[in-house]
Amino acid sequence: MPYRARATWVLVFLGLGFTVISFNLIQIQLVQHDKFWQMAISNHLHPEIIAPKRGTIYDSENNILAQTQQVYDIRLDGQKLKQPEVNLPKVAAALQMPAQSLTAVFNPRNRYQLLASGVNDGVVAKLRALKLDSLICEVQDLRSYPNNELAAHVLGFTDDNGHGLAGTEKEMDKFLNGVPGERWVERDAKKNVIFGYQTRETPAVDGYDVTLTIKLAIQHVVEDELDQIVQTYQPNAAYIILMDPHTGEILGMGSRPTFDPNNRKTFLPDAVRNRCLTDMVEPGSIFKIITMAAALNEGQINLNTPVFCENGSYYYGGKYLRDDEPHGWLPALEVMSQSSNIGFAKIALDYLHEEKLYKYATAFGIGQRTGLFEQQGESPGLLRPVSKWSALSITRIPMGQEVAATPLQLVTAMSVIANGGRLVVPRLAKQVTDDAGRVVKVYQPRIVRQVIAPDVARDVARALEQVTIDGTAKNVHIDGYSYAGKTGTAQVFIDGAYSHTKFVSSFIGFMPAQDPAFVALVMVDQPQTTKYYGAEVSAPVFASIAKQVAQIMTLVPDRPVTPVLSSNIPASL
Amino acid sequence: MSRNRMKNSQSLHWMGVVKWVLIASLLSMLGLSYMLCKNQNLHLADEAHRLQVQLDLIRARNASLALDLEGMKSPRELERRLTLMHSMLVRLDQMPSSVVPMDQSTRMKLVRMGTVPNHAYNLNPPVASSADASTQPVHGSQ
Repeated sequence: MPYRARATWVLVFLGLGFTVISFNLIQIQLVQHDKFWQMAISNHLHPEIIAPKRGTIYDSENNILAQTQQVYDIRLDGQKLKQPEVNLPKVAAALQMPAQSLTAVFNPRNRYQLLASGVNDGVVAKLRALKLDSLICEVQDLRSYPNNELAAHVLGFTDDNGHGLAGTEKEMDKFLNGVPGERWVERDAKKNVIFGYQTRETPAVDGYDVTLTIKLAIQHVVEDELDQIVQTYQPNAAYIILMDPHTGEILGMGSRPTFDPNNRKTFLPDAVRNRCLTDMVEPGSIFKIITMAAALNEGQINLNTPVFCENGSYYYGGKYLRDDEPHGWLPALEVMSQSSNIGFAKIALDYLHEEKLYKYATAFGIGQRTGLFEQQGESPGLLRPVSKWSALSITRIPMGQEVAATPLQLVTAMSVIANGGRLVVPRLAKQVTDDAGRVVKVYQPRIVRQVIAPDVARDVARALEQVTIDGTAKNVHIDGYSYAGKTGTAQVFIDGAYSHTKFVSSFIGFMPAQDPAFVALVMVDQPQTTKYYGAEVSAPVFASIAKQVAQIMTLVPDRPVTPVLSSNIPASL
Repeated sequence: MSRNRMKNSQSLHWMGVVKWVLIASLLSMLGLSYMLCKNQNLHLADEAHRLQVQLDLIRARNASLALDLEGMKSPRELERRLTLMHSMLVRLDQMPSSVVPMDQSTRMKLVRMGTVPNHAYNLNPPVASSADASTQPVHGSQ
């Protein structure tokens, strides 16, 4: 081929080649620019999620009840580890494990072997000092409860991903959780992040802190008393709730059995549920407070109205109703203080009738959820509509049979008497704050309705104070303070009949009687001793709690204080 | 070609050379300073990240310490420690309603145990006859 022809072919091929290249360049740079730009970005840049820190839960005095802390999972890359016989004992020593414990389980093929979990940063610092690049320290968030079982049912717990599963953790999850952030990082050929090329970053928003209404000191008293109840009576369950009747703030709440939220492996399903909200119990004589308040509010009776108590046995609707002690004519005040079943049945029969009794029970909140922890199994209780009542119901419901309520409903109902006849909504959350301490949300006291007139509430309080002076709780004395309350000993309904051996012993009251600072309920489900009356089992616990809470709340004594004689000082001192 | 024309045609155009040298050095300086700034930026970013990690560690440690402190001052833990100290403090529910002044022998006993400091507080009640002491109420109230 002549020289000129060859040159022409070379030029043609070169021209074609450059044309193809130019065409591709135009495609890449202009026509499909966006597609290739995205591909280039996704090749270099990688998104990383920035996890937010879950908020802290405080009590009303800013003591930490639940907080998230960082712990580490320690893993080992078996292929990278050199001289395992030398290095593994060093790692074990740093992890405070026996020297040969890691050597025994070491697998040189496993590149992600878990050595320890939940390790704190002090141990991690020791491990880092070993300068072993085969060790992998992974940060994990751990929800911790520094007071262990204290207020466990109130606080609840979280799952492995840090989302609330029960209690306040679940109820306030939307505030505690925070919003995750995102950062885009560029990595080099060795997959190391080039921090200088970090482009977009949306920082995480940490969860808000939640302040509860409970007081740590009062909650401790509640837990202590519950432990003593369990030790003394070995009951099926026990419940204690303290509430500020004016604001609806729960000051302390606990039940048994309980659990330690720090140790989720030991949870028993029965212990985890907040029984103060989920368990329905027949209130027994405690319910008489509602019957008395209803009759007084209707203006049908006053505290001096005589009621004939049929000398202890009353035949109605084909069945006998009996009192523990026979009474004849008693003024309404004493019907309450002596807790006469017949007296209350006759008050309901003669002065209230079905519709009004039902109306007042509903107005006191029986049969309705309080809404304290929504969607956490709170029971509405049981109050059947009048159409489903039997002929006996009008004599049994006034004394707390054929009706069931949760302990929380009962405390809320009692707060009506202690709060001038107004029903308040019980609440546990006080406020929500951000990490700078700015208040995001405040939970205000909410009054639902005026259930009874204020002077009627005062009359009922007087009758309840009489219970503690010469009534069923006369043997329980709180030095320096007046208090009002009602004992209850409810027979347990088993297999269609009321048991004569199984009881729910309870006491509900408030202190001081005139200007109550708190309402408290103590309920013991089936105490396993010879004692089972509310006055014997629950009232002394109420007195013990009241004494301690009076000290904590610095309540001024409204009764003469019994002086301490030096002869009363224990000899050990 | 005349001598003068030869000299003119073969002479170096210094001004042109200087101009190109200046342009080249300016571009080089710009390039170098760009490189230096970029490297410095990378180093500073690494340093900032290292400090951020340290700050996060300190924060995590603070949170951990706060929890430890909270655990140490939890009512149960304090009660446990008081029991170990044999302090003879009285629980709130067992406390008498009136304040009982400590007598001298009890105080000395507690001083020996190290529970009460050995200071010369005047804790003695006002002088009273020994006959009254057992029957008179111990004064002081809350």
